[in-house]
Amino acid sequence: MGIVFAVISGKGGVGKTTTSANLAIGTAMEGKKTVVVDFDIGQRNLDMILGLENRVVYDITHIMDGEANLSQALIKDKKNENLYFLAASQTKDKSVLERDKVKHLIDDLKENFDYIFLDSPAGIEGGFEHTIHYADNVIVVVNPEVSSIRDADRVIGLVDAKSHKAKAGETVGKFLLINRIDPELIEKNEMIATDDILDILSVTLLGKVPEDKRVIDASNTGKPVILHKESEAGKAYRRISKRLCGEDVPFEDVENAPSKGIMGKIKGLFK
Amino acid sequence: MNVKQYTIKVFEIMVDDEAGFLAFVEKNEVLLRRHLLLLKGDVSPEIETFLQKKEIAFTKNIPTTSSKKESQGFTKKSGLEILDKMVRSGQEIATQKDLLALKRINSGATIKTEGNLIALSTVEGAIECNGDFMLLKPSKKSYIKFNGADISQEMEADIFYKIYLKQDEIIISPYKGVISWA
Repeated sequence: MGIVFAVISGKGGVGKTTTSANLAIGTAMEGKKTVVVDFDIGQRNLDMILGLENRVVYDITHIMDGEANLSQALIKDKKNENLYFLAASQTKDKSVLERDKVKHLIDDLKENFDYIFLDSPAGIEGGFEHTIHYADNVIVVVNPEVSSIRDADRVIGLVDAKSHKAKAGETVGKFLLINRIDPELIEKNEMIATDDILDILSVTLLGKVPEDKRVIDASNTGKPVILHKESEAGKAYRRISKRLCGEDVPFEDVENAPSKGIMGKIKGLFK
Repeated sequence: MNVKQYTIKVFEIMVDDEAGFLAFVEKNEVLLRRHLLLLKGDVSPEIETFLQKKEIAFTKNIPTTSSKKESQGFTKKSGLEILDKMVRSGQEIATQKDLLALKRINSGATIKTEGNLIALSTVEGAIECNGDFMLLKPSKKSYIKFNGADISQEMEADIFYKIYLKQDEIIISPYKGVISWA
């Protein structure tokens, strides 16, 4: 039986889709049979980030409507044989999702995969509820700033109230991924420190990902940062994927800027 | 014609000493400004002009039937509720009892009590307490209302405060002791 992770945030633009894509590739690289499902119906993005947009024939709504079966709609990654992708519809809206059908789909995926990542839409309506409803674990993505943290707090509360597991008296695993940590801003005290975020949200820390300009280029070119060997964000996603696969990887100090190089050091001297 | 019915809270004040009353209003101006005063006893023209100048709404000598002593706590129930979970954004906890909140009350969360409130962790959300007593540690983000009065601006962040009613006056005092029993 596979494990279902819902990637949620509340606020938009914090990096849910990037996180889903990178962690799916990461766990697939660790040898787990992984599928990543785009639940952002009507605003399909994950296919582009994964570089698979030209391969989408059927999407999740076709499965819901019975026009295609699961094996037809699943897209297999060319570079990694463990990685599969299920696209969202770009044309229909969220109302096509029905709870029973979503449950059926997720049950099917659990039969066939080790790890299932559900990329949730922003906000707290329809699509979001479907992703958390049958999730075993949620990965909450936040940026170190107040509105993102408050929205994360709100969705964690909703997970506790609405998920199937929570209703059955079991607990849903809740993990925090702090994304876009900017060492320069942390140094200037303009970003909220990790300890304070953990204090406010009180969920288990899964990982910290530093701000990395390569992420944008990676999205544009369809080659996620985790595949860039020298990218700091990519390395962070690599570590997080290993943690998800049960490896005990220590937390790196991404809050402090890496050595600035000789010019940076000299500038520092004359500050 | 458009008719609406409202339930409003009033401060009922028996005026027996003009100087004392004026001093009381002066001292509690912030609290009283947004409320209606129901004045009883000897209301002199000086008092009326004073209140008009302060822009405090008042009315006088309307007969009320409620017994004064029991006016507190008619919706309050006895008993203590212990809240051992963090209150997250969007959650609202309402109780008619006394409430002991052990964990954080986050930004965007709301707590309403008819009874007393003790909150031991940081409060960033909104609090409405209609009890006689409150002990809490506000933050810059918190909104705190005690018996209808917004007292958020009267306190500094990250210090424990005792807030209580003493003869219908709200006393806010920093709590200097260490809270060690939770």
